[in-house]
Amino acid sequence: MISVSPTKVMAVMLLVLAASLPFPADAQEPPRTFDHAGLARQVLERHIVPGYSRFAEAARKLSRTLDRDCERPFGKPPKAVDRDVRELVAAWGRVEHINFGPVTVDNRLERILFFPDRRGLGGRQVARALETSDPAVTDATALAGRSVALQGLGALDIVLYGPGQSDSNKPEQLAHRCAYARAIAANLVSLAQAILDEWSAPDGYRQHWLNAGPADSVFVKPSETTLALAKAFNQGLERVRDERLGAALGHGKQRRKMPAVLDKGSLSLALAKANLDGLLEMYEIGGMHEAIAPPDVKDDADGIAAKANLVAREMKTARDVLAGLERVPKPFEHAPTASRLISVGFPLKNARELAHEILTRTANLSLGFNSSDGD
Amino acid sequence: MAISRRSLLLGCCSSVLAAGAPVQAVPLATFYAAARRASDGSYSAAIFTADGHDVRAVALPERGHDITVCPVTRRCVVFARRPGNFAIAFSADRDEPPLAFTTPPDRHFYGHGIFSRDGRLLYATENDFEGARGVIGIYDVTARFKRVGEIASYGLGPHDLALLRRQSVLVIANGGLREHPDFGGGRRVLNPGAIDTSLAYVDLETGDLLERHVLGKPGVLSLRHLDVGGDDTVVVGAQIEGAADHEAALVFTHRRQKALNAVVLPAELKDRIAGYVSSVAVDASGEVAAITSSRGSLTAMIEIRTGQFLRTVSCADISGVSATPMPRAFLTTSGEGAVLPVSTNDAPGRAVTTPWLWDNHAVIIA
Repeated sequence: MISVSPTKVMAVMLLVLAASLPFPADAQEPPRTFDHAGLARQVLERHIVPGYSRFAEAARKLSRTLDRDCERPFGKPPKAVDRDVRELVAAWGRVEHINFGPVTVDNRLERILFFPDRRGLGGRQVARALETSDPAVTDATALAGRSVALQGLGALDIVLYGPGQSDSNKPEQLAHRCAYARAIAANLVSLAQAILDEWSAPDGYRQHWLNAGPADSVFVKPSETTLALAKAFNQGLERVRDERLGAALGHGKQRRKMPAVLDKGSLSLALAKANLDGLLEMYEIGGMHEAIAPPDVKDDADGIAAKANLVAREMKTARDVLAGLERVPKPFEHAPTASRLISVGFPLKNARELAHEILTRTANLSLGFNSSDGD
Repeated sequence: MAISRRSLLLGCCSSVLAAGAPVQAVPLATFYAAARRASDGSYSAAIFTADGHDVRAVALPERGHDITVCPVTRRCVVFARRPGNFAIAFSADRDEPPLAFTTPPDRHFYGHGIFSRDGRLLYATENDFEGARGVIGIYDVTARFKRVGEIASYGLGPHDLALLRRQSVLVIANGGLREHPDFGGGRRVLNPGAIDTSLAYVDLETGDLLERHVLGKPGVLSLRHLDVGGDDTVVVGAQIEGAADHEAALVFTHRRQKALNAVVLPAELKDRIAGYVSSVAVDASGEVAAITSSRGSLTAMIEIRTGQFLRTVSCADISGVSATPMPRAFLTTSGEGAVLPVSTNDAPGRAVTTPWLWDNHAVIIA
C-alpha cells in the first residue's frame, strides 16, 4: 500500500526515538489563574444578550416593513425590504457561532437557517408551497410546526429573491408569496425573542451559564463555559472558511462547488462577514482576548499577548476583504472575486490555530481530539 | 457529510499513495489498528506496533472511528464515525488495494462493526435516520462487501456491538440517541433528556430479539461501548448526554437472563470520568476489562467477575484501548499521540509519542 524510502524510515525512527521520553503529561507547568466565571459573565452581558437582542429587533423591523409593504404585494422586493433583510442576515450572522444554550432547543438553529441543505430540500419544498399556494405557510404559528426547510432565512431568500419571483406574477401569487414572507419574518421574531428571553430570565439558561460548578447540572466545572466559548470560536471560524467560502468555491471536502448560502439574494458574503464581525465581537468586546492576555501581565515569554493580538488582526484582515466584496453579485462565479475569497482562507486558518493554541494553554482547557469531540 | 461511492474510490486511490506513513522495517509479532488524524488535518487508518511504528496505513476521506478485524483473514475494516457513510477494508498482511464501500443513502454508520465468526459477513451499526430506528447492516465480505440486508437493532442509535464467544448471538449497545444528518451535522442529540438506551441480544441466525435490557425510564445515560469477557459477561461503558448526573453509574456488566449490574467505582474516579467512558476492552484472559475516559484522561481496570476496581493510569486525552497478548495488560492510545502500555500489575510502560492524534478506539490484530 505504501512504499517509503529508507531515508524517510530513518527520519521517522529518529522522531519516534526523540519522542520516547517519559510521558510529559504531568510535567507541564501549572497554568496561571484564568477567570472562567468573569469571562462567562462578560461574554453574556456584552455579546450574547446584546447579539440576540439585535437579532430580535432586526426580525421585528423586517416584520413591520413586510406588514406595511405587503399591503401592495410586490415582485421585486422594495428597497426597504432589501435593507431590512440584509440587516437581519447581519444580525443573525453575528450570533450564529453561539452553538450552545437556548438556540439548540426545538431545532431553533435549523429553523432560523437550514444550511447546509444536503438534499436541496429548501428549494423543492418552498417551490411546492408557492406553486400550490399552500395556506399553511402564510400563518406564522402553523409555519413553526412545518419542515425546517420551509422556515427561516433560507426560505426567505427563496421566497423574496428566488426563481419565479417577478412583478408580472398574478396578483394572488404575489399576495401569497408576500404573506409567506411575512409569516417567515414573524416566525423569526418568535424564535429570536424566545432565545433572548431564555438567556435573559434570571431563572433561565443564564443561571447555568453564570453558576458553573459541581452544583450545576449543565456546566459541572467552571472551565466548561470557557470550553463552550472556545469550541464556538473554533467552529465559527471553521464554518466561515470551510463551509461558507471553501465549499462554495469548490475547495471543500466534496471537491466540487456546493451551493452558497443565501445565494438568491447575493447575501452569502454579507453573512460570512457578519460571522466574522460576531466572532471578533466575542473575542474583543466579549473579553476572550483580555482573558487570554490580561494587559497587566508583564511576563510573556511565550508570546501569548502577541499571538492574541495576531488572532484579532487576522480576523480583521479576512473581515475587511469580505466587506469589500459583499455586494458583488454571484461572487463565487466571478473569477477575480473568487481568487480574493481563496486568500481569505489563510488568515482564518492562522487565527483558528493560534486561538486554539493560546486558549488551551492559558485557560488550561482540554480541547483534545477525543475529549472535546469524542463519540 | 455523505460521500459518493465514486468520490470515495477516487479519494482512496490517490491518497493512499500520498499518505507517506512511516513503515516498520522488521515487523513485530503483534499489531494493532486504529483510526487517526495527522497534523495537517488528514485522516488515516493504521496498523502499528506496540511501540508506535506504522506497519501500513490507509488514507481516509474523513474522520474514522473504530476498526474491526476478520478473525479468519485478519482483514480490517475501518468505519466512518457518525454520521459518515463510508467504510474501507484493507489487509493487515498483504499489499492489496483497499476496498471502499458505503451505506445506502438513507443510512449512515455509527462507527462500529464486527465480522461473523467465519469471516463471510460483516455486521455494522447504522442509523435509519428517516425511520428514526437503529439497524444492523449486513455486508457480504465475499461479494466485495455488498450490502445484503439489515436487521433491527431493537433500539435507537446502535453504537458498539460484539459477538458472544459461546453463542451465535450479537450484543448491541443501543445508545438511545435520535440523530439526523440534517440537524447539527448529524451529531446533535434530538431527544435530550429522553435518551432511550438499551442493551439488546439478537439471534444472528434469525435476527430475532432474544433479550433487551434498559436502565429505567429514558433519561441522560447512553450505553455506548462494550466488549465481551471470557464467560460471555458483557462489559458496557456509558456516556451522559447533556445535563450532568453525578449519581449515574457509567460502567455495567451483564450476563444473559440477568439484570444490568452497575460497577461501583470509587467516587473520586467517577468524578474524574466526568460522565464519559470513551472505550472498553477485555484482556487476553477474558477476566479483566479496561475502560478509558478521554475527559478524565485515565484508563481504569476492573475485574469482570467481581466488578472490583483494580487500578487507574493517567494520560491526557486517552481513549483507544486494546487487549494485548498478555493477560491483564492493554495498549492505550491518546488524542495527543501517546501509545501507552498499561497493566494491572506494573507501573505503566514507557509511552511513545507519535505524530498522530489517535481516534477513540484501538484494536489488536490477533
